[in-house]
Amino acid sequence: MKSLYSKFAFITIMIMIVSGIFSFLLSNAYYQVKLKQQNDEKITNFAFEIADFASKHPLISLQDYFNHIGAIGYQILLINQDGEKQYFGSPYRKKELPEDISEKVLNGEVYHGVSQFPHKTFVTGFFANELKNSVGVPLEYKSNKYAMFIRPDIKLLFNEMHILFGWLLVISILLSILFVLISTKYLVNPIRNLKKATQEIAGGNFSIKLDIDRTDELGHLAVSFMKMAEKLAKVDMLRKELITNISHDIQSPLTNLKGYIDLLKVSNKSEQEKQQYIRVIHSEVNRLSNMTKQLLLLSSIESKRDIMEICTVDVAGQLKSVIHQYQWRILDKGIMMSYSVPDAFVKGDPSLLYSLWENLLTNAIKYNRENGIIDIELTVSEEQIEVVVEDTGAGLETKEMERIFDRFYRADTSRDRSVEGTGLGLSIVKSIVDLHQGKIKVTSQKGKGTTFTVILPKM
Amino acid sequence: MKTILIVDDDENIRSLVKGLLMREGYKVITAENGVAALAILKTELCDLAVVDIMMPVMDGYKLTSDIRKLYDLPIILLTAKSQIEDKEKGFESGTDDYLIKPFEAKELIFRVNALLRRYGNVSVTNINLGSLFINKKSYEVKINNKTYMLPLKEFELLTFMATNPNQVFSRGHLIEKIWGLDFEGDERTVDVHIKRLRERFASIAKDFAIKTIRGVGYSLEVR
Repeated sequence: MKSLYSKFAFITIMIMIVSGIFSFLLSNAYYQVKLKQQNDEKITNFAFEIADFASKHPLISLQDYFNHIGAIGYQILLINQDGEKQYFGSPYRKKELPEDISEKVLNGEVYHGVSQFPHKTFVTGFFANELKNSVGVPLEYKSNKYAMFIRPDIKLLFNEMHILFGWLLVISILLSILFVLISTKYLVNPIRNLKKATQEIAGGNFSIKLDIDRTDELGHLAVSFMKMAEKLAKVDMLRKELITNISHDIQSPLTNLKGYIDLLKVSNKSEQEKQQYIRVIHSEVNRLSNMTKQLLLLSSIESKRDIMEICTVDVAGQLKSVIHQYQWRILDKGIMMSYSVPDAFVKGDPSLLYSLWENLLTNAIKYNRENGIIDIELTVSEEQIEVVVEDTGAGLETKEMERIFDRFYRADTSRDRSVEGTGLGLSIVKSIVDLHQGKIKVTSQKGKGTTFTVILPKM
Repeated sequence: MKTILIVDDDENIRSLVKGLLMREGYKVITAENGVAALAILKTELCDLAVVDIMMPVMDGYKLTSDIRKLYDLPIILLTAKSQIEDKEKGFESGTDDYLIKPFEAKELIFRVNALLRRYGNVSVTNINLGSLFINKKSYEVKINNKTYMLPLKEFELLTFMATNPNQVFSRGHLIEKIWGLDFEGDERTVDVHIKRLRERFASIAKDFAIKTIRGVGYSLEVR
């Protein structure tokens, strides 16, 4: 009994059996309470009718008369004053009578054996072929007193119907079991399909097709299941792409490191060459370090989606702090930094917003020319703040601008080593802006510079 | 010669920072924890302290606030944590600056120099010239509510000329004042810096300009 199918079928059949038993009990109770009385009255009427006819027609032989009635379908016991018993019709299965009853009936009382027949849970008195289960009336024939006990010969009268009902019952039970088995299969099959599909997904195959075409809950389940599979497939693809990118971006600096270290091992190099190699090694190490930091940040942004620590953030303070932190790099490159940051507050996650400004600024520094300019302008309005970061860097082509927020995209497609970058910075920026329900715009002119505009709602 | 105190429990960091700063011509004393550092400060006169945050016995925050109470000494906190909360905690305990590991040699030296410069100029007067405001302590220029951070030499050049507006300086004089007597470059350096300053402020400030006085040198003129 492990499969849902057998459980479902078993339970349904059990329900049928139990409800059958209950309905029998209920109808039995109905017979006992209501029908038994009616049945008794009906038989009593017949009995009087028969007794009346016998006493009014003394010319007809009592023997013949009762033989005739017995043949029509009644079971009769006739007792005379001396206590002699005569049976007509088919015999009773049990022939006991309560004591004194024949005396009482002889003295003119009526015996209501049908309605007095005892209650039994699983026996309907209706079919009980017993003398007790009869009606007794007094009969006077040729001034002799008799007691007549009578009940309809159910077996004779209703035999065909009995068989008919029996077949009806058996066939309906068998058919319903058959239909339960079939319909259960129909119900359970989609679940089996779904189970197979989950196994497929667990095995790494996301391109499943479920041909479950239903509008019920199972149909909905199948539809949302397929949606989930699609989403998983997409995530899986992104993950693979990410890993390819990461391994490329980690492998290439590692290859460089290895190569230059090997070169350094060879001793016949000039001091100048060695310095050059060390510079390369240094910058590659930096790149690796930056990348791991940013990957960490990116994954923490992803996991933060639901657990952002929202509080009031002093944007002006953060911007000043970021500028201060990168001051040395800005001035090292001979860049003039100008900024105007009036007090501004937004609701947001302070450390994420800090990373946002940090990435925008380091981007502006990295891609700027020597002795260039960076300008940061913060403007506050009723409902939002706007931070504009403008640089005098290399600028972007229009088609590059569409892709700069993609992970690992770098405008210098040759993966030019002149600028250290991981291609993650702007994707981090975009994720953080999205998390804060903000907008980011970029305008750029190739060779002139790029302007990033971040708009954050104050909330 | 300025003396710098380095407090870090990691011996490698201590010797790295020591090496970098000694190459810049500073005298360096090292301590491996806060208690040792406070003991050294009792006997030695230091000009600046570089303090690590994560240390046994006494952490960097505690040491910073203790130094703040007893001495007038600029402090740079060194930390491996780049979390903004820690920066705030650092500033609360009274540090002047912080540096995040892994740092670049250039950055350390830049910050040490900048901090010493700032602490050295205690009695400077700021310059107010029309719309131009020069804050000599923070090394920042302000024009019409906008703050400008200039590369060091450009800032010093502008400040020197703005201290004496309308006065003409020869290239040689400017080199001696700004770059020092032992500067090895030629006078073209001055031209390059002047050119950059002009470019930068041409569209920003209309009420002062650097004029070339043919055959003599440069002068900052106020309109």
